[in-house]
Amino acid sequence: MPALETRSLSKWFGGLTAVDGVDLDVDPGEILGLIGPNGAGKSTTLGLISGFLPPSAGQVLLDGTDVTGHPPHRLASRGLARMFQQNVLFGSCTVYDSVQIGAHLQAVGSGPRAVLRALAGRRRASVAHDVWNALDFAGLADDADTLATSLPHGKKRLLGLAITLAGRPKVLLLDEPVTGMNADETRTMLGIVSRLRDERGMTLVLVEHNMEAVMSICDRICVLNFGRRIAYGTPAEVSDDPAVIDAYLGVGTDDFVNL
Amino acid sequence: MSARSSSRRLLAPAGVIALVALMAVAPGVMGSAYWYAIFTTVIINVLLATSLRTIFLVGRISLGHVGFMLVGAYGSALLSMRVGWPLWATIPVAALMAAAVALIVAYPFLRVAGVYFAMLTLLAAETLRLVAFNWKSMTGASFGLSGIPGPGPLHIPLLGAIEFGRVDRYYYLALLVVVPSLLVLYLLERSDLGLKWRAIRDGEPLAQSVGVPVMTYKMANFVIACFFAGLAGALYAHGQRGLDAEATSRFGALMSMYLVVYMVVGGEGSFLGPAVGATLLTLISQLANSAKEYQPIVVGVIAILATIAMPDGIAGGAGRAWRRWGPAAARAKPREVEHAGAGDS
Repeated sequence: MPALETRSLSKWFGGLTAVDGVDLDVDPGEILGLIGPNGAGKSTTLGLISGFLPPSAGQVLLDGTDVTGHPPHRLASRGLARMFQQNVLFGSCTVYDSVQIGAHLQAVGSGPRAVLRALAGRRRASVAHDVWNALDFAGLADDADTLATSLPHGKKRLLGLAITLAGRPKVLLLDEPVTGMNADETRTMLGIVSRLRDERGMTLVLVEHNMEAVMSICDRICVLNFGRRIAYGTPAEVSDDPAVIDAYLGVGTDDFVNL
Repeated sequence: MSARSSSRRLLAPAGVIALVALMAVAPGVMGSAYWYAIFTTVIINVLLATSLRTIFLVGRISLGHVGFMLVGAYGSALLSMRVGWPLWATIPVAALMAAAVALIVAYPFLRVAGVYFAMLTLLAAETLRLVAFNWKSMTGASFGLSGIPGPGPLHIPLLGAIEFGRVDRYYYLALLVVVPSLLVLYLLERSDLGLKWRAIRDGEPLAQSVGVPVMTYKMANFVIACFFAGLAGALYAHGQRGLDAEATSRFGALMSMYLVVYMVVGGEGSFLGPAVGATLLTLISQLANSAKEYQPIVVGVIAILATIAMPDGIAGGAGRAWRRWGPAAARAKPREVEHAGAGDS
């Protein structure tokens, strides 16, 4: 059974169709790349899967359960986490506190009584293990006391990742994790992402513009153009696909194949 | 939790204790019953401004905090006058009534963006005031309520009865309510709930995506803050022994603005900021009492000067001065890494 599945997922804004009947199935322990030119509907698709946007049609299934239209916090309690595009962080918090917020579900769980548990509980020492684990994994243990906003760009992205990891998700959606990073930072981030798959068996969906990064770590790739799925397969299959080459570079260019 | 920040975490409670001690003796030092009445107003304003800051923890500004104070005030007054309950029952029940009203409006109010939330709270408070101002059979309309009973004696085994009826005694009763309330608000802020409130203010979508049920947490925040506004209102009612709901009364829109000013001038960034702001500005406007119509000008000018001189408020400015010139600045201590032993608990 796929860890994550979408069935003819669609989203239209008025007359504009942003996502048009997209079918995806992501196997457990797989990295799926979601690529496409600007405006192809990648981020919208991610928003639909993560519950921030209600789909206009279609379904989202998590471990075989229909979770279409569930709000983000309920999806989180089912093991789906999302790392945001750019540096969406908890600005006034330290790195440690930020990751502690990420361990919310570990601290108080979900359901109606979670608020009461939060009311009663101190900032739980019981999540310290999860917090340090996530910090170590992201290589941020030495920055625990630093304010989130004063981290350099690359570490901000790693913090974004650590925040989601603290909740021990099973499926993780990454929105442009290496965009704007230098070569070193990119290598670090990609190393961590592939370790999440290899060591933790996590299922990952990756939206990214950096084609080299996508080709190097994804098991399969879905290419979107104008909201439609135009190709779906291994990196080799996709990069040989004429429709993909057309979408990206126009007819007659073979640069893409050489990547 | 960690040695790293324990000294800083102790600083705030120590400040609270010092402030409480100061507040307990201050009116006595000033000498007359008049000052007890003023300081009762001061600590009621402290509770209002501090609970207003609780709402600010989720990034919202309420311009209608006095509306919930009004519910507490009239609720407690009417319960004691009409139903004949003792104050020990009417004050908490009235605060719960304020919380209930907050719970009713919380969902629609918190769904909208910050500016609209501020407007809605302002309009709600004015609506509540107009109800109180026009509901003749219940609130006496423009005549107001008078003859609200004060507290009866508190009978304590072995110690006998303690009277709280006199103005000076009533001040200590109010202090007995306000100080634990502040402690509760402080502990809430330090709790896991408080951390998530801050998370919501900083990044609502991110908080949602890690599993925080944002709306529930915001509603809890608003209801708790309004409970304490109601509590302050109940204390006010029995201290004054009379209530009216004129536009110029304690329940007018201007008072809600004042509360925001207290909070900002004191420094909304720290727990004690609003308390400091409320204390200073209440005292100053009491001193300007002889020229009541100029009070808004006096408070306004002070607010403008204070925010220019200290953008993060009196408490924020004091905090920076402390870090720069205080004892901790001299020995910039190396940070401990609390890594080892933190896990497996």
